Amino acid sequence: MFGLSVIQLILILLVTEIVALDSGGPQTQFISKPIVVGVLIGAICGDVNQGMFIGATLQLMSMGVVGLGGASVPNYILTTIVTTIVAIQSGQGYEIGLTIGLPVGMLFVNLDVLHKILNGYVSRLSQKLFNEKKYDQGLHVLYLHLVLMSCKYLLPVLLVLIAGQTVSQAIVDAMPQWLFNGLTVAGKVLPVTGMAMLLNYMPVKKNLLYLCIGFVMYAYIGVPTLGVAIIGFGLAFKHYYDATNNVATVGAANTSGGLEDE
Amino acid sequence: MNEILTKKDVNRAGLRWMVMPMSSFCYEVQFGQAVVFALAPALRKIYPNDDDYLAAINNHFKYFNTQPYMCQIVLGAALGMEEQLGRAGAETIQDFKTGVMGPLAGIGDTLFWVVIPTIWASIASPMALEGNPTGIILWTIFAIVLTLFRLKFFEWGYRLGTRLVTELKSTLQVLTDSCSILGLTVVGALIPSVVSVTVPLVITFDTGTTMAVQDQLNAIMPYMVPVALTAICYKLLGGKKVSMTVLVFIVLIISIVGAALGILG
Repeated sequence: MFGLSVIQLILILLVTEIVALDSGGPQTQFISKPIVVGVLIGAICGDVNQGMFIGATLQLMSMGVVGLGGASVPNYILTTIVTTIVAIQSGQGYEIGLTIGLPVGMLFVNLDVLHKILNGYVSRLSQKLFNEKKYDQGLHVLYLHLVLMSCKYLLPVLLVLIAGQTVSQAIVDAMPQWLFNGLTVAGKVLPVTGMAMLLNYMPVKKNLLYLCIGFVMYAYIGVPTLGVAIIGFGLAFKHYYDATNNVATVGAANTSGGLEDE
Repeated sequence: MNEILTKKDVNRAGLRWMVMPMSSFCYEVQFGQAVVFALAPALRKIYPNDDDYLAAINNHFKYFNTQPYMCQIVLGAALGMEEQLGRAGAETIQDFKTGVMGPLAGIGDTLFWVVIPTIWASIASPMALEGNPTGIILWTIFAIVLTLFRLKFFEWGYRLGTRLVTELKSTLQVLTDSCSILGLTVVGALIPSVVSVTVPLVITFDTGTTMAVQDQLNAIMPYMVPVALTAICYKLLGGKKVSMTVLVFIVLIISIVGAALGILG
């Protein structure tokens, strides 16, 4: 247990749980960022300065690593928690901490994919209960999502705390490589299902042109998503303007004046 | 104008949204169940009739995803529309939700997940590396202020939604169409940016020359694999023969096998 007292262990798990519930819920960013977590875990382990140093280092490493649109990315907060504990408790500094912290953060990608697949079952169970008119049960079963989310954060930290440095390294190493690779690739491919579903709810055939414009701008010209959104806004505004002005010529003049001001 | 919901009901729905958006995220409907969790009590009040309530619930179980802060505005607006239009507005509400989620995701993700954290990280981290916590404190204060603002997002959306369907009724269809134009433009860019799978396979010929498959694919069209996969999944789902659950499983198995054979990476 890295020579941690029971109170220290409880506090570490408490910070981890707060991070899990915040990252999964309101996303306030008060605590759930590497730099703050580093300070907190450092304080718990008795070396705030080293915790802050590790947190800041990992904060910089995580810049630009964002899981958008359901993509799974390494979790630098878990990396920070584990790195700080190992670095301070083993007394060997943050390089040694990183050797176990980084794999744990990477392992999170696999847990994340599994979590999102399991969430699908909970979601369908809830919808099924609703349609059987068990409304309260349908709502209550959704709290399972919070349990799964907590597991996703607490289990890796517990693994390291219980197993210690050498054993957890061995466990990370022992995970079959094909499964590790497979789940990493699945994390890259699975967002495709969301995109396909999204497209099924949109008038793709009518507006295929705009889909092509967005794709060509990103894929061929390398325009960032915000740039594409600006062009999209221009196109949408043109449609809105043309259509409302058309209404104005066909419809009554007194209603159109008010519309244009909107 | 219908006034069924009190201010308390609206705020309650807004706070319920903040409980589990990312915790409940799934591949099939993404935020669908989190939307239901947020809106269910308010919807029950709008629809005392079981059938109407169920229809509304099933409607909100459908695919929904945009940046979580932006969701507050969209869902607030959707709730305002439910209150004003009732079941007759089912299609309008669904169109509105899907129409605005693309563009708001583009804007919200860039602003809240990329720009703001990057700026604060580049201020706070170098200071912290020298043992100075000022940057961390300032960042946290900023986060608290932002969160206080966000507590109002849902209510703003609710008022906007009410206004959209009462005052701007005749332009709502045009507005929804415009939203889907903006949405599809952004989705066009989102597919290659979110689906990041490539083909790392390198073929070695007898003569000793090698050919990297991904380079050949790029020469034909960049991001060919994501586009092809999206098109296949779109067709499979549209044909209604393959359910989302089955599709997720197929993709999962293809990924694991593809990774093992070195075809996908």
